[in-house]
Formats: sequence, C-alpha cells, structure tokens
Amino acid sequence: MTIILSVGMLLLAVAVVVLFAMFGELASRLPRSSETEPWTATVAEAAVGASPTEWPQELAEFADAEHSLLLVLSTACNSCISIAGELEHVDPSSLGKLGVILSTGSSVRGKEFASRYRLDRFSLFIDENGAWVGREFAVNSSPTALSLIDGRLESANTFSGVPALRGLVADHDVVSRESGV
Amino acid sequence: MVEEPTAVRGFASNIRRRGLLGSIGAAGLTAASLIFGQADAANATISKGCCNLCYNPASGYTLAKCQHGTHYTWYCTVNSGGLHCTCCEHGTNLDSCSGVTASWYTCKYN
Repeated sequence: MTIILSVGMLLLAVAVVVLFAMFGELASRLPRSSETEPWTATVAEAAVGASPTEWPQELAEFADAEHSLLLVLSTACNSCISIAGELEHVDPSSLGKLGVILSTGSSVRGKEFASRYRLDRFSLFIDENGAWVGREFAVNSSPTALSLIDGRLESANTFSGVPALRGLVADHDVVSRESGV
Repeated sequence: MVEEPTAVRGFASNIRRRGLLGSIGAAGLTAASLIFGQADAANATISKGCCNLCYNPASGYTLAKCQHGTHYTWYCTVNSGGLHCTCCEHGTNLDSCSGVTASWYTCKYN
C-alpha cells in the first residue's frame, strides 16, 4: 500500500514539474513588451530626405530598394531588448524589406546581443558607436524605424514594439503606392 | 543457523524501503533541478529608465564625467515618446562590459 501511494505521489510530483516547465516555456515565448497600446512618434532630429553617401556592405541591398525599413536598436537601450525579444518570434519576410542597425559601444557586445535575439535573421549591421546612422541620418536614439524609398529617408519614428511596427509598415506601403513607387 | 528475531527483520525491511523511497525522491529532485536549474544566459546589465547599462550609476558620478574620454553615449525613448533618456558608458568599449569602467544615465519627460 505504501509503495502504491509513493508511486502515486511521485507521478503527481512529476506531473507538477512538467506542468511548471510547460508554463515556463510558454511564458518565455510571449512577447515581453510592457506596453499594451502600440504607439509611434516622429524623430524630429532625423535628416529626412537624406540619402547615404556610402552604405555598409551588410546593408548594400537597401541602397536602391524601392521601399524598405531599417530598425535602429542599441545595446544600451532597455526598450530595444523588449523589441528584440519580440522580433525573435517574427517571420522576417512578414514585415517587408527590413534591416536592423544595431548601435553599440563594442562590437563584441553587439554580436552577443544579436546572437541572443537572433537578429542575424535580418540584414544586420553592427554600427559601433552608432557612427554610421548618426552621420548619414542624424539619428542617435532608439528604438527608431527609418522608412526609406529608393534609399532615401522618408520618415523616422520611434515605436513601442512589433505591433506598432506593423502599423508603420502598412502606412509606408500606402505612402509608397500614393507616390507611385 | 540462528534465525533473526522478527523485530530485527522488520527493522531491516524498513531501512530497505526508506532507501528505495530516498532514491526515488533524489531522482525526482534531480529531474526538477535539471528542468528548472538551467539558467538563462547571464544578463548582468542594469535597467535604468529606458537605458540598459553595464553598471549601476555611482553617486557623485555625472554625465560630464562619463562623457570625458572614451565613452559610448546613446539616447532612448519610451512611454509614447514622452520619456527620453541619455545612456552613457565610460571605458575602452573594446570587449563587452568588461571594457566599461562606469555607467551613467539621465532622463527627462517631455
């Protein structure tokens, strides 16, 4: 009798352990954004209308792309961690032509960050000290989404997360259609 | 041959049973520790405002001190664009946080 009860208790304990493990796994797959309402705001300082004089090799395909989106994230930005966590579960092709510029003080830290959140699934440029994006687009804050048409900056917006980004992509498509691109 | 007294046989049986249950318990604990004991990648950075910094800003340290010499300064925005923070890390920046000697941040609401 004692043996049967012990085995029963063990099975129960195993079931509880498996249940908690499943909860943990499910929780880890949920987006970590703390904000519920998607929002975007214009980045006033951005050099709208600018076309980079030189493109890094990693982003060369964006130089003459009809319309594309470049996300500026940073290792020093806490909200970028939430967004990178959300992007980890996003199909890269579902957001149109999308690239990521990762501003960082150290390329090692940038590579660690990119690897942790699988940012290399996108066209990824690790921008040390944010030098390139600062020089070419006058952008030094993140998270920022740069909307480009033919490699020219159409608009720059800070955004709350992937749902807000999808809204930007939709708006961008409308603008592109209206301008005949 | 001398037969063991009944009390001695019962005691030995109890010891064997406790050993079995102990083994089962240890196996359960091992399974639990294997499942729950796998820590995520170490994340030693600190969240301040919307900044993600290598170190907790020390009292008496200032943004000017952080930006003196080699440093990485970046800006972030949250709360519908209402909160803007300046994030600064002072140091060689050669190798992850190990090259950083101090961090600082300051935030303001629009």
